[in-house]
Amino acid sequence: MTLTDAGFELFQHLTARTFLVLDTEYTRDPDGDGDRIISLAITPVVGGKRVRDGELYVEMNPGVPVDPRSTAVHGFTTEAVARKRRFGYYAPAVLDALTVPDAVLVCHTGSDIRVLRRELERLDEARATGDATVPVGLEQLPELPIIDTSTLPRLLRLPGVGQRGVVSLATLCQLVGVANAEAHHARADARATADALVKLLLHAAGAFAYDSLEALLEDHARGTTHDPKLPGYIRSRREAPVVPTEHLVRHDSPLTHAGTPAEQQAWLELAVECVRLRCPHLRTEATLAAQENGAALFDPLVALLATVTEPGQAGTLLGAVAALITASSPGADPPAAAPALAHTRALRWWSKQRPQVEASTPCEPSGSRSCPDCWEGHGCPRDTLYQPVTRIAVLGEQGRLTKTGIRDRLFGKREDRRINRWSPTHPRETAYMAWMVFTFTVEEDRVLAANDYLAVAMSKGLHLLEPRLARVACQSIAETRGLTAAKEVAGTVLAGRTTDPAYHELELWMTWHEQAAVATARAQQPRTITHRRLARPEGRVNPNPYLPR
Amino acid sequence: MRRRGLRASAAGTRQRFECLPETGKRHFFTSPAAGAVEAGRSPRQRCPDPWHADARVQGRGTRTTKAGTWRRFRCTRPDGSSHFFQVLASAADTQLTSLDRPPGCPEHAVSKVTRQGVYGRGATKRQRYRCVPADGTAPHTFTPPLAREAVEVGVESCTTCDELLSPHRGALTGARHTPWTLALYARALNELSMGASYAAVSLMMREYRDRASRHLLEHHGGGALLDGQATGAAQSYTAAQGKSAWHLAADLVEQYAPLLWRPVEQQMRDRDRQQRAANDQQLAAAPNAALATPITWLLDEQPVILSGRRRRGQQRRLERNQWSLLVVVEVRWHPAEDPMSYPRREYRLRLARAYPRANEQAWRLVLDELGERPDFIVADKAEAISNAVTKQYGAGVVGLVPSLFHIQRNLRDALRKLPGATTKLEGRTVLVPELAKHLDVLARDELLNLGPADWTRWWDDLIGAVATLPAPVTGVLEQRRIYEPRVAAALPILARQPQLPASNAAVENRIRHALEPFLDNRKQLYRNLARTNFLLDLAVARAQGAFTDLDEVTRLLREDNEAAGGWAPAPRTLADAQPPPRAEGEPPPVYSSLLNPLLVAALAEQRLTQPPVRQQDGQQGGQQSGGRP
Repeated sequence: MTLTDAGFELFQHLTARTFLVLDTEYTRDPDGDGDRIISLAITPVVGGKRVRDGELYVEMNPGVPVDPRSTAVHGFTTEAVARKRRFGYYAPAVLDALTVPDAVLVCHTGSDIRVLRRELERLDEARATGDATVPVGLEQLPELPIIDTSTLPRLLRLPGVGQRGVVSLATLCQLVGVANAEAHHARADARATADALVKLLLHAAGAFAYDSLEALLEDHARGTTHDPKLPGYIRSRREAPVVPTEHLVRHDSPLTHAGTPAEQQAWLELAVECVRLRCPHLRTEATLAAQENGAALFDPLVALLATVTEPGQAGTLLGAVAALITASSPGADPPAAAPALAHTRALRWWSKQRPQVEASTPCEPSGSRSCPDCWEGHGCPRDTLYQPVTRIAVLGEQGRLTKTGIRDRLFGKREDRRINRWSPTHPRETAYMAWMVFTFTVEEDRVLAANDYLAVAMSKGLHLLEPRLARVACQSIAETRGLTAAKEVAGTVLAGRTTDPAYHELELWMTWHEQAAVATARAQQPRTITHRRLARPEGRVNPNPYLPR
Repeated sequence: MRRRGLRASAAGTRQRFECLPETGKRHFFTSPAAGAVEAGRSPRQRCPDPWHADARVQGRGTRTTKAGTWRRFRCTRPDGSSHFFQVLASAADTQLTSLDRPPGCPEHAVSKVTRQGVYGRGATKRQRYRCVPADGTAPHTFTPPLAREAVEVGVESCTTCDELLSPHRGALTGARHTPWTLALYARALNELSMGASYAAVSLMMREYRDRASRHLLEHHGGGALLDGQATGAAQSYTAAQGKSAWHLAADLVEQYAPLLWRPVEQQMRDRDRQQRAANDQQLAAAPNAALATPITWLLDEQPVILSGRRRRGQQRRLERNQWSLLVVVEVRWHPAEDPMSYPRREYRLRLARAYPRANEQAWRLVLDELGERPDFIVADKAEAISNAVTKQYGAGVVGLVPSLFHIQRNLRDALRKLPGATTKLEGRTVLVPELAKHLDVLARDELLNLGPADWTRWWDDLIGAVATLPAPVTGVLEQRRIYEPRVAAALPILARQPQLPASNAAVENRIRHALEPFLDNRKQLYRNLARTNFLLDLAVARAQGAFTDLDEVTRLLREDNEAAGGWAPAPRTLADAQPPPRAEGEPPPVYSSLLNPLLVAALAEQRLTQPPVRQQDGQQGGQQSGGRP
């Protein structure tokens, strides 16, 4: 896949640590004592590339007859492994290969680390009974965080994974386009897993899903080599709000026509239940109903805000309010019969409602007690409702921005311009308006004018209130006054962080630039080659006989 | 009681147990492992492909090859697919042992050498060895100066190539830090000597770089032990650049052409020296006697005219450049089948040189490089050759035979341009009979009947015939000025040495057959004087039989590289030093030593320091042949 510059920087950031991909082939112990390793491979991934330097592949004697069913999978027979050495012989080398500073262990499903831990435990048991030949054991296993490539695709929403929580290695290879001609061979599987991991991290970087590997590991939650977590469905899916089927069937007939008062009342009752259940379909219902019934439903729906008390419910309700405002606004497609909130009273309404919204119960950071927008990562409507309100107030009756409109109504030195009139009472809304104007002007290729608007907004300190405007301003500051000044501005803005994903983007922007500066500095350092190289003997040259003296 | 590993024994695989009694001493015992082959029965033959462990194997007879007797088996998978394989039941004589011998340790004469893993990857995967010295010193690992490809695949037979695959039998690498084998080097040099282009040979080298790895991977089921991705060049920017890298082959020429040229040149010089001594001895005894095997060279040059791009500030539309191919062909004499016949002639390339100009200095450089003085030289009318011969060996020392073919051709061409000199005969333009009968005399046998006075009269008659046409005689007079003295000087030589060639058609023939492949479609690409001459050395070495046995070429390369610890000569030391870049906007300056005419003079001044050979007491071939001063 193709990455943007920013995406590539993020990819470099995600792959800054070394990944050690582990794969094993094993057989069942006939005595029921777990599984025994027959072959083990460790493949490092350094700097986003699978390397062979440091790769380990060993075949060993499992100490028990190989189960024919295992043989059918990996091909190892009892006779084939009878002359090989036991795991204890290779254990120091295996542990040595895993002892890489700041590394991350990668395996496909958790069985590999489970089998490895069991083999190390056997060494401990043997030592406890007096066998001192092998000096290492489970204690020497370095503590590394684990990435499980069987569940990572679902976490990263890899296209094609669908609803599968766990993906087999063959399917994963097919999805990401990795060839594995020798499936069930430990080294080939480890290499395929390593290649697939790189593709997955590429996807994560391209989607800007995580700004750091630590964040990904935290969400992935596979534990460490000392405390591995069993594979299973990813947490976010398990903890999503569960909506009962009885409620879902009530969404089968959305209000797409001009409803009668009874129908509107029924719709409001459905909305009450949706708010209670934090139903993710309420927003869609509101969008559909807004075209013909927006004006009638708006005020009763807002009135429900006083009734909600539990976390996640206010967010669910305000999400529906935002959908009503947006879907019935003058520029909506398809056009609505009447706006739910007229542009003339938008700011006044918001001034009145804002204290109530801010006083409502916030969503929990994660889990089932959050609104659908929080769960999807779109930003809680409690924090983002000012945006649709400001948008209809700025766009006005026409529902679109024009050059004349900006000059006559929005930006200018006269007192009646909105940037002057709104600033004292609605600073955040003014900042959002400034960002809209800036974006509109840039889209019209009037970069100089856009910079002028940005300068006016920055002179009023609006860039410290709106993360989108802050990102544009930081870019400008970084180019003119340096990265440190931009970092200070970003830090100030991020101090007032909400669930608005624009803050997250601003943080990512800072991370990229910091990393780019580090990478540039590193690239400019003179390289010292410490590897000793054998040199060509002196005089091993064919002289040029046609070279005049 | 717990299991403590599997043991392979003559009685079959056995499971080892450790007994930990509550009272008494712990002990070990073994029992046949589940599924193991019972003792006394011949072990069931398994398919060498490790992924066919679930297959049914049936015997399908035996067959005998040079390697020994093979047992054939049919392997049938559960899905119905099947294939045949064979294993060596008994090897023929010493083949097995000779192949299984590991290389000796370079540091310890008496030691036990075993394989110790591999290093490198893909096409450069090489076998490493471990040496346990017999003198008790510490064991160490080593790799021979020229490493071998790793060919361990876990089976001892190749079902495809019918050869034993000893782990010590991987192909020798060409040199350190190169992915190519010695055999491929020899093959590449062989193709270069035939005139294959640098690019074609480079592509061939890339294609065959990891052939062994691919063969093992595809035909030996070695995927479990070989790199799965050793199936070709890596897909990278560097690899893409490498595909167009003509330098792979050009480097080979630079590194190994001198090595191959050295013994060939030495052999030719030794032969010339012996012949020179014998001929001198014969002339000392009888100065006017005919030589049975005179040292005879045929000289010719092939100009290469290039039209390049127009450079900024240049008035002419195209930049024209030229260089010349100077070719020397030697005559090897073979005794006649009967005493009444002349000795048989065989022509072989003796030297080919590229120089920016084919002037007198360039020819002197060529003659200087040839070493020994010849008895006779056959060449066309080129003044540069005759002057160079005179200055190099002295006036009249070497008999100079003009090419009769060239004389007749040039004279005919000159006459055909005259008004009234031609007529139509069966649709063809031919000379009028009065002139044609004159040219008929310009054959070897006819000329030998003429004396010096007859030869002068022949020219007088020809000029008279031209004058009566009537036509201007200026052109004919010019031809007479050139050819009359030369032929007059050569007539006694041809009379005395009837076996001598009277034209240099052989050198043109050699150019067409041996050297034109070097020029076809790419003569304008040569830029480096040294490398081009190294390449031409390969062509001459081929003509002299250096590539008859490629194993000999391989041996030469191997010995030379092993003597240097496995290192090849440093490549790219012949590159022309380029001038500093010009100002912005100006085309980059390029220096090409092959297109620098001043280089010939510089080299001549540097090399041709010794004075020319002086005429001594009538012992040289020129005097006995009656050459004119």
